[in-house]
Amino acid sequence: MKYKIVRKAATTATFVLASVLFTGTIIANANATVINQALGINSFKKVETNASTKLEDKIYYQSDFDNVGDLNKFGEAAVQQQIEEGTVLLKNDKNALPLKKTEKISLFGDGAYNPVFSGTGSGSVNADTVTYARSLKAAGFTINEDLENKYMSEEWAQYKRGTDGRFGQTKVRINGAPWDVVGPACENSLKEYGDVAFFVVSRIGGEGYDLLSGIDGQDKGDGLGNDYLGLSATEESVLKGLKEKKDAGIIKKIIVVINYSSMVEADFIKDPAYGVDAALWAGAPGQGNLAFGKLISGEYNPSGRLPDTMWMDNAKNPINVNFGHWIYPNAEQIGVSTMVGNLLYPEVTLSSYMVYQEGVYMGYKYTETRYEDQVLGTPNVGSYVYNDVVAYPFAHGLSYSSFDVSNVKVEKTDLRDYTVTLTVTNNSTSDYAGKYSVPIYVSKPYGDYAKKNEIQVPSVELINFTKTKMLKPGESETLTVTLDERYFASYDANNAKGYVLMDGDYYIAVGGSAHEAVNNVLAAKKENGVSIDESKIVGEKGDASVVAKFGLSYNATKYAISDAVSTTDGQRHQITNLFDESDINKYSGRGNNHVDYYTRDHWDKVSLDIVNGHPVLEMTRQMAMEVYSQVPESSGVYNAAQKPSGEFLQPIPKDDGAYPTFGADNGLQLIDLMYDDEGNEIPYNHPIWDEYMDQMTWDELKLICGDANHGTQPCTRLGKPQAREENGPNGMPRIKYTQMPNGLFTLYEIEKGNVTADGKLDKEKMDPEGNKKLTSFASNGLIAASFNKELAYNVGKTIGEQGLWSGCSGLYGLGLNIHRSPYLGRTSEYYSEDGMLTGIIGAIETKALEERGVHVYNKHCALNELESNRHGVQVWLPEQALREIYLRAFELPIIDGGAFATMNSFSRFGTYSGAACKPLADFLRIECGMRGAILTDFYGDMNGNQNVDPYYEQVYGVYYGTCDLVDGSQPGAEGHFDKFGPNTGYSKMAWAMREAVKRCCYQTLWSCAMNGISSSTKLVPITPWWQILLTTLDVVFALAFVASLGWTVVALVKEEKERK
Amino acid sequence: MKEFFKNKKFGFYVTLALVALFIITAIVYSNSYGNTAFMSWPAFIVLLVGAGLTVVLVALKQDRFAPALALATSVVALCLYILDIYYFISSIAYGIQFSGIPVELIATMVLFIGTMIVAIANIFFPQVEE
Repeated sequence: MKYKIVRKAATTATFVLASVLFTGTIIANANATVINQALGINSFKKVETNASTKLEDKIYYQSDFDNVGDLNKFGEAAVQQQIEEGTVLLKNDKNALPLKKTEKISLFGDGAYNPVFSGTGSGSVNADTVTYARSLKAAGFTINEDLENKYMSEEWAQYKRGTDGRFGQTKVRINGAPWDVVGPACENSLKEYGDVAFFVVSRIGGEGYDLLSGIDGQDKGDGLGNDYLGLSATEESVLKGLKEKKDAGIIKKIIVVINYSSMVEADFIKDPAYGVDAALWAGAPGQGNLAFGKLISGEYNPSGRLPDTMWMDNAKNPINVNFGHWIYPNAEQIGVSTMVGNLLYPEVTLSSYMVYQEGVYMGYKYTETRYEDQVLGTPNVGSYVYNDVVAYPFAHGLSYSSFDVSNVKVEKTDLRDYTVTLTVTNNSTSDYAGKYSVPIYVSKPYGDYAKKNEIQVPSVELINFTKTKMLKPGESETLTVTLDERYFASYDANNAKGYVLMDGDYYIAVGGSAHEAVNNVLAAKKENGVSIDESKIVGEKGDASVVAKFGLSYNATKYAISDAVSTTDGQRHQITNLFDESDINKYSGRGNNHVDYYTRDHWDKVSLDIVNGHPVLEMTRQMAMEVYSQVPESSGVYNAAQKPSGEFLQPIPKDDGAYPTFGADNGLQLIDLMYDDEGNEIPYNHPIWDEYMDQMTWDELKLICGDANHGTQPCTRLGKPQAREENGPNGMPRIKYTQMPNGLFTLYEIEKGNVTADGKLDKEKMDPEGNKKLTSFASNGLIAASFNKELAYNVGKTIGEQGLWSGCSGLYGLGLNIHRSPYLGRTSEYYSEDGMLTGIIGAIETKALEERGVHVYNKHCALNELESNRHGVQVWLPEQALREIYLRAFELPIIDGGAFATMNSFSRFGTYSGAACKPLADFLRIECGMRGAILTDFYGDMNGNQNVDPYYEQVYGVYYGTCDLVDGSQPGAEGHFDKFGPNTGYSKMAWAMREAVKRCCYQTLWSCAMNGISSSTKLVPITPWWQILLTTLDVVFALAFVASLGWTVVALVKEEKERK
Repeated sequence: MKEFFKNKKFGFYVTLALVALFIITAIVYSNSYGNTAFMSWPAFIVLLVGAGLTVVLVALKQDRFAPALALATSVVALCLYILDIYYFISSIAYGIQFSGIPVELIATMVLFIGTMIVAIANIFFPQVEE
């Protein structure tokens, strides 16, 4: 009896602990990859079997830096240059800027002391950041600290911006202190600090939510709801208050700073009622904001140009009529769920759609083309007042200096290249040296062929750009730029079904904003006898001297063949329509659906009715079939009462083919597939790859294509290391240099002997710079706005080098989607509204990364221009727009930048999700020659865990070759492949899995993940300490429980005997 | 009936309360998550079967084994619940922006964990007069 309590306690405690520990072990093992990443544990170690192998012989990707300290400084310089050259001076009346350091400053707006440094989600920063107030102080200005203290006080914490609502339903709050509060608070201090009033307008966006209809924006009844991107009533009150102070002579200048990665409505900057003297678009600065103060002082001279159109009123931007998602009204009727998830992702995944009705006429291609047609007197332009629509056009940007562009010449220099030569002169009388960005535009003919075949031709299109060096006053520089004639061709999806050069006059306009370029082209057209209505010209009259004209004849064959070699067969292929099924007017299952896309012939049909102007489409049975062909067989789990009709279920078919060989002993390690005996690179299609792949076991195939959470799985037996990949796109700020054993930092520190007795890095001895955070870059729009290719390269170089030194061999980036609407939540990760600008910058950054063995997963390819209800939205658009804008941004980084990999879109191309779209995979691999893997990161959201109808299943992606790897899914999807194992009649699936894994291995082989591995290196898997600990505890508690239970049983038997 | 309750002690009534808690937990859990991927139907079955068997033991006057059965029921059900609900929690922990813990999550966690704590305590309560 005296031990009864102890016995009960022991049995109970061991039972509860053993059960809970066992459950925890199951969960921990299922999430091993994530736990290892969080704890910085590697899944393998390298054992060198040949002591004479030198480290330098095992470094396949070398660094340009001797140490990470120098690299960190290089990154810091690059991010500051982003701010220096990307910030756009929108307005500068009476040279309000730069300021003298004697001018005393008062800063208004929460954003002055609490800026938006980045987007939220994957674009977020992790760095020591600098506020606008701190940046101005660091530049030597005196600021109103009394006001600063108020803004930073507990009392004013209530005025900070914020968000409401859970993920997927996030609504953004501008907040801010109203003039009623601010005015009295600065009444006295403003008398001393009234030389300049800065007003910072901050807006934030991010992953998972768009910005249509905020909480406290002003509702102007235009359909945009509580408009987050217009001035709020609070902001309006402060600006008006400042204007009153200015009128009273207390404030001398008002300067507005737009701190947002995309564009706000800029009507207030131009409205005299607010008295704004100067304004800057400053993006989101990442860790580079020290440069801001130097721009204000004139130490730096702005040279940025807007990467997007800045609208007077976003209700005048017709894109916003078709920005969002709509549900097919008859979806339920034909058996497709319209249920909204009720937990993390309240989204309609199977039956929502969005039409890119604008086709190619998006951003400046709409504003400037409609404007040009008005000046040209084209019929059906409709009511259009340019100045009411555009505040600042694409590529607008001022400087403290003034520049002249002269001696413009365009010469055809070979079969397809044109060389543009121009001279830029800094002709300012000031002391300011500066750089000048030179966008170059092409104006193609909109003639009979285009009209007949419904090819749309914007008035001007950016085709390339250049930038001067720093030019002192009076200094000139002659620049040359090569233009590729391929980009004079338009995509003809209706007749030639390929790229065509159209018959007619082509104009090359050099320099200036898109609007200035159109005016320059109009001037040149007038000189060539084209009739224009000069009374309708808006802005300065054009300058024909910066425009070159030449004629071309119709040619549908010159650019009919892809530039790239297909990775499927090593051949160049004819470029032809791949995406008819994404165009609702051509889709084979369209039923009665039809959409009037925008055309230059009928601007009057463009709707500005934000609420009701979108096309209404019906869901057809074929759409339903295709939607369900991509989903897990268990689809309908979310909405159990309404499982899909049996007719929609399309399981993978069985076949009677032979399975690949598994587990052969061919003695090949991955490193053996790098070079042949003559030192030549072994190509992807070489037969030795078959021998290598024959060695893989079924379980290894399953693991690699079923689990790629921030990296690909190792196959240590065959010499494939784990590849660590990190979320971008604005750098890799969440990892350290000590991340992986194959990082140069770790390899060199080990070489130096800075290791502990057990072989780990000695934190006391190792370079302390290795503990610093990696660079957090500014929003990508600032790189685009710099129009500086060298800067783009240096940003890519920093990220690539940091990957190389940390052993992170992949970046989940760049973000190459398009700023289609300013309300898109994720603009901080993307570059521009222009596909060409995005593509050119993206190609340069990509090249810098890939040169260092760090693969890009450019994301999210493509049409991923929606965040609220991003999962599974069906996007319909004409192929010309898809190719000339949205895919152009991905194509150039693959063809010109050598991008190895792609992360696919959350959206659908028509009915097929980005991860299940065969035409897209063909475009990437056959047309662009992409060599590596396609990965999805939405799968983790769609495996049923998030409680919405899943709209994609990884086994289908692998089967059809449209998606090789899955990120974001823990536990992984390897179990989904179990039913297709050897001898089950699914040989095609096994071969598809093998191809996906081969692509993954090929990609790892040609990456910095192989640094430190030679043919004499053995990779030895490591069981992490936490798994050993958990297993030990499981065993100990299980044994303890069994012992306690035994004790209890014995005691009970004894008791029973005594009782009897 | 009076005879049946005559020699029952505090623990016996806790056991009955546990039976009620099992049923309440099963109902609340299935109502909250029945149509979701976070519903563990095995946990639901364990709760109901455990409740039934506990009642059977009591009815057969095998009261002294009832607390052990109740404890086993609550622990196994909790573990099965955790195995499914953790997907939801890990999504939050994985860095997805989130504001507010859903009331369903709080209610089910309190019920499962609370039931287990009561079941542990009940092990030490006398069920009937010796």
